[in-house]
Amino acid sequence: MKRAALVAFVSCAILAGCGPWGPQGILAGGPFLGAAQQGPPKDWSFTDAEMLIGIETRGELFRHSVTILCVSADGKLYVMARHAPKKRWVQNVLRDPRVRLQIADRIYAGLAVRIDDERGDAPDQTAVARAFLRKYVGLDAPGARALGGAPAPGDDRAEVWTFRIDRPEVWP
Amino acid sequence: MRRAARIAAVLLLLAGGGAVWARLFAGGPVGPIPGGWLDGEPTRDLPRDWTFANRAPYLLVESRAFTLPWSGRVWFLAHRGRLHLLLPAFFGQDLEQRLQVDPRVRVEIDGKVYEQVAVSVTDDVDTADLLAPVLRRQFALEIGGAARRIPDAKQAGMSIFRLEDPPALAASVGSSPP
Repeated sequence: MKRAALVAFVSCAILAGCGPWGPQGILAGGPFLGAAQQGPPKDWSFTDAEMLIGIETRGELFRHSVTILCVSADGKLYVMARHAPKKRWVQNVLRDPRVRLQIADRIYAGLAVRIDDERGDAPDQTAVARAFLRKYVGLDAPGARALGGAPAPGDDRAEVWTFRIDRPEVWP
Repeated sequence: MRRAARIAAVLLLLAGGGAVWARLFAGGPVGPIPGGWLDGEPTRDLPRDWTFANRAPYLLVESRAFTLPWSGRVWFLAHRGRLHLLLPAFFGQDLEQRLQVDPRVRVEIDGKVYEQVAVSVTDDVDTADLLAPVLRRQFALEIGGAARRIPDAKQAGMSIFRLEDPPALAASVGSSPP
């Protein structure tokens, strides 16, 4: 019975994800309604006030949007994907890095560039790890670092990929 | 246009019906959808050490703070033998608000339901030790040395609750995991 309810819920979520609206909480959505702001912000630190933002990616047929976590570090914006290889939005970004972000009631365009490396100690990645702990855990940890690459067999940690949002080459 | 409205209405009905069903009849949360009362077997034999629970990624927690019981999947860690609930603000504050009204909870592990009382953890003493395994598992992050909780970060951070045995059941604490 529980399985039937879960199947019904997932079916609804998939169907809802095709609609012309952004993500609704844990439910994926389709394209954002509205146009992107003209010009990217010089400093993304205002996003520290937002716990969750929406990201719209370009699938092969449809645009796909979900709610994600984000952090700013040194004025740049980063978004993270837990269990990244399984995420549809991540696969879309790898195919086409053009994304739109819904932050509060505004939409911004950008290019998502993956920044993490196997060792997890790229300069951006370390800054993101510290910023993440400050924002989402309320922890000041100067020695924090990200664990890069895929987890070893038997290791139950999530595989997290980090993307920096860069200025798009052509403004939409 | 009318067809699209019908499809939207059907989707809304299905989603609403599913949520109501989960809340009233599912016997616990259905995936990420909150449920009602947990339907596991109630037990009064409380483990002395809850470390055995760490093999599961989530803990099923039920609160009866308001009229309808609420249950959900919660991040947790058994640390120094006691269960700790880890409630990040980005998952919403449903459970935290309920715990502020009534700290009594029921938790389900391996089909058995135990009664506990949630106590907010606000001190700095071993926060890093407590959070390190969860941050590693859920976010692939290592704290890497000393860390301290940032004052006033509670709203944007992660609330921690330690589960303690209710006084009425303290005498029935066992010595081994079930």
